[in-house]
Amino acid sequence: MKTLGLIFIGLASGIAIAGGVFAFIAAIGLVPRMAQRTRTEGYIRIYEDAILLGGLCGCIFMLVDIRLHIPLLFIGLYALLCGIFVGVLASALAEVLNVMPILMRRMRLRRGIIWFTVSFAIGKLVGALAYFVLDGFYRM
Amino acid sequence: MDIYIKPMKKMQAIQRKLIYLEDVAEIFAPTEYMERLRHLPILRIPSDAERSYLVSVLDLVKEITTVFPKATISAMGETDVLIEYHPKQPSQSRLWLFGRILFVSAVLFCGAATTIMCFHSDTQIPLIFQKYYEIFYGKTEELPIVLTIPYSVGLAVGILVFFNHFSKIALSQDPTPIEVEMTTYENETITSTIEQLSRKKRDQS
Repeated sequence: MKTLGLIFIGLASGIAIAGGVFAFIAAIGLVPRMAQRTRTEGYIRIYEDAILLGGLCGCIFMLVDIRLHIPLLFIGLYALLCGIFVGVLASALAEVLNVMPILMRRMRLRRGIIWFTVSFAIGKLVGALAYFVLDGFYRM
Repeated sequence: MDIYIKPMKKMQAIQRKLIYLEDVAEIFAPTEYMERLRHLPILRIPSDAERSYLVSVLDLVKEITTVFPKATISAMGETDVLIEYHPKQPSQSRLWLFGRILFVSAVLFCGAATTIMCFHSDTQIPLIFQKYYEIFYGKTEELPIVLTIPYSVGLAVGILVFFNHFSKIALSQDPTPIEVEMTTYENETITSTIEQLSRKKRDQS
């Protein structure tokens, strides 16, 4: 009985959390952006499958103790891809919140979007490096 | 004589410089005029560069009236048509396409895995599972399997229900949320391009 209750709780939280987290990914407009950039708008269903599998693997890797023995190079590649994803996510978030248009309007600027974007990206790079390299930021 | 036209939102001209009325609008008119109307030139693209041009419904009306001065023209639908000129055929290579799809899928796979792990450690899911286990059994366990496995299954079910399909198995006929998002995004891009072009047009005149 108790076990059944726990199983039910686990299942229900899984469904609810999946709805929340993946609705966020879908609503932020990151997949359409990448599909448009690579001109693969017709293959969005494949991308949704990729998100599903990725989410599931992430969940399993975190909750189950699995050891994979893969070359260091692949881990670097994996990290690079994760970085790209988070970068797109951060920019999409900034865009949804209209950070740049509002700033530009307040500063009465109409040009220079390219420069703002480049500084945004470099800022993120410097911030990420500082976070990992300098002492005191990172604490488990 | 009545002519009805319904301009489209966007039109792609690939390796063609002369745009006809039938390319940018649906036409309804008496049959004897249809042929001439269909092949009425609207725009001749001046340069070889890849860029977008804007044709407003007024330009269409102007062109039609030069040929049929007495016609009554009713326009419905879009008021501006965006014409994208591509000087060469977009690359058709299957391998390149496959590579791009693989790249985006890989980014999304790794990203989704990272996102869900970030979410778990952010919200300290393991602690919550421990607490649940404690409430039910009165003892602590690091990561209770009785919770984590149903949770993972639930996660998969949740994503499936949300995206409405897996691979080719669709749960319903509706477009998936990201397909909806894609349409919205494309529409917004077209609207914004039209705005920019018409602003430029106004500055020039």
